[in-house]
Amino acid sequence: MTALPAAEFINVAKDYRLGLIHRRTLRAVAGVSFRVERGEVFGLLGPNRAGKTTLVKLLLSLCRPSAGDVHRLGQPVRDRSTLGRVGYVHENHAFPRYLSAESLLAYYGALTLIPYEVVRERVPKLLERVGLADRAGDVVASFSKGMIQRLGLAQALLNEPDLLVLDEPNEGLDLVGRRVVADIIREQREKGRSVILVSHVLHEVEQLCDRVAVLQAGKLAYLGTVNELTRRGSPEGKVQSLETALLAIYQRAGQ
Amino acid sequence: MSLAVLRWLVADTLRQSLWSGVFWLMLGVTAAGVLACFAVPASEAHFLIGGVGANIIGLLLGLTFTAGVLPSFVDPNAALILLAKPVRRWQLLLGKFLGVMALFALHAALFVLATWLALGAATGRWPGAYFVALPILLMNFACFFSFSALLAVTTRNVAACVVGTFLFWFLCLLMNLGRHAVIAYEMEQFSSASRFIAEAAYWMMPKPADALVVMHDALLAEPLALRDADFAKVVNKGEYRPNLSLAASLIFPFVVTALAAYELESTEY
Repeated sequence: MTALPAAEFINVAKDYRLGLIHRRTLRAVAGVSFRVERGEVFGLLGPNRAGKTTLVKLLLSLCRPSAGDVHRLGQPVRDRSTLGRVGYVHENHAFPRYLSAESLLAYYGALTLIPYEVVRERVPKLLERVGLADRAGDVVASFSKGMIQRLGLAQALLNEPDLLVLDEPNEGLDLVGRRVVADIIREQREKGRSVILVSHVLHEVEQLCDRVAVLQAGKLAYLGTVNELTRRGSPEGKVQSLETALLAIYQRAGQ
Repeated sequence: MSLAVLRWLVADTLRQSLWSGVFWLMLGVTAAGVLACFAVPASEAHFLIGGVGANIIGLLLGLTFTAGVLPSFVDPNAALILLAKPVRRWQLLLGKFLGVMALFALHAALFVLATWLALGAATGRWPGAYFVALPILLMNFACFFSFSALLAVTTRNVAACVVGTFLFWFLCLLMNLGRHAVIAYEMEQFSSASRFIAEAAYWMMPKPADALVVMHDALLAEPLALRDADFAKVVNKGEYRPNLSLAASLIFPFVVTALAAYELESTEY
């Protein structure tokens, strides 16, 4: 028996209603289908407003699909219990400024329904892992953007997630911080856990992702490995840069 | 619902109030109230002024100070990670709501106790009935803060919460007094449909004026109906039922908080 996928999108569409009386609609995602396997690092690529974050939000039950089905860790997304096995980092998250790094992790651990004893044991290790051990007692208000991003990463790992969703995790991070993120992604894969990475940093995607989905205007423009993508459409299967390959896809999809 | 989650959310709200200064601001209001007790000349109405002051000025100040808690909590930048946790959204809202209630209850109890001691020292009278102000104040706050919570999840805007809640309080006060006026003066120009609507609104919405009458009657030996001829007409017609009025007001925060929770559950981020 094969393991159930970490995430599965089945002919998913998402329309946002706009305007005061919701008369206008914006189609953010249109008929997208793919699955993210267990133990896979999966990249979500595409230009701004391509629908990447909407797919992430659909997966995390932050919004509902207008059509189609979304499954998380083998269960329909309406089953919130699987959220306890998911970690999520997104760019520009505003953590409560009055909490210390330690108390913030304890608070988020409680909301993830992790027993307090387990949280207490994991917090020092996680703060050490993301390089914030010496700032454990300091309030978030005194943190730089990069430090907040590291703290976000620590809270996402608190439940030792089977599925880690990283939406622009390197936003505001320095070189060392980026290395920490890359190492954590590799560790997750080694442990047989899945990662969904939304990123505009292409060399990172090239290095880390097993497969990628490229979205353009809410539609799936490409699904496959980075290797296949960089050879696609080039004369005699010559390898081109990921940037060139992506631009070619965007141009084709835009025509 | 996990009690541990609830405890964390309540504790988080109290921590937030300490950090943002709201806790100290509310403590300052109590200190100002105590000082005012010594500044006002002693009279029969001394305790009534304290109770009414708490239930009008204290209530409106409390609503203003706490208005920012929920809009910042449900703001997308702050809420996305919380909402992606297994805890249901209504539980998150309930936890924060109870946190604000705990904060207000603490300060309301402090205010009532401190002003009772100060007024007692100033007048030499120690009426236990003064403590009626506390449950009435908490009930009033629960009613109007639940409305503020509904505005918070629909608008995520602090100014909308403050202005909307003040307007709603004023509307409820007018509705409460207007309903009694319709009965007292037997206003014939109102159709039976209008009277029915006024009556339905009276029973469905919070009744801040009735709450003040209950406190007045508890504090002063001579009830309001004996002092005010117009209000006496309402009482004599059997149309003023204080216990039922308070009980009906108490239903309001449950219904409106449930509506706010439903709104948050169905909101798309």
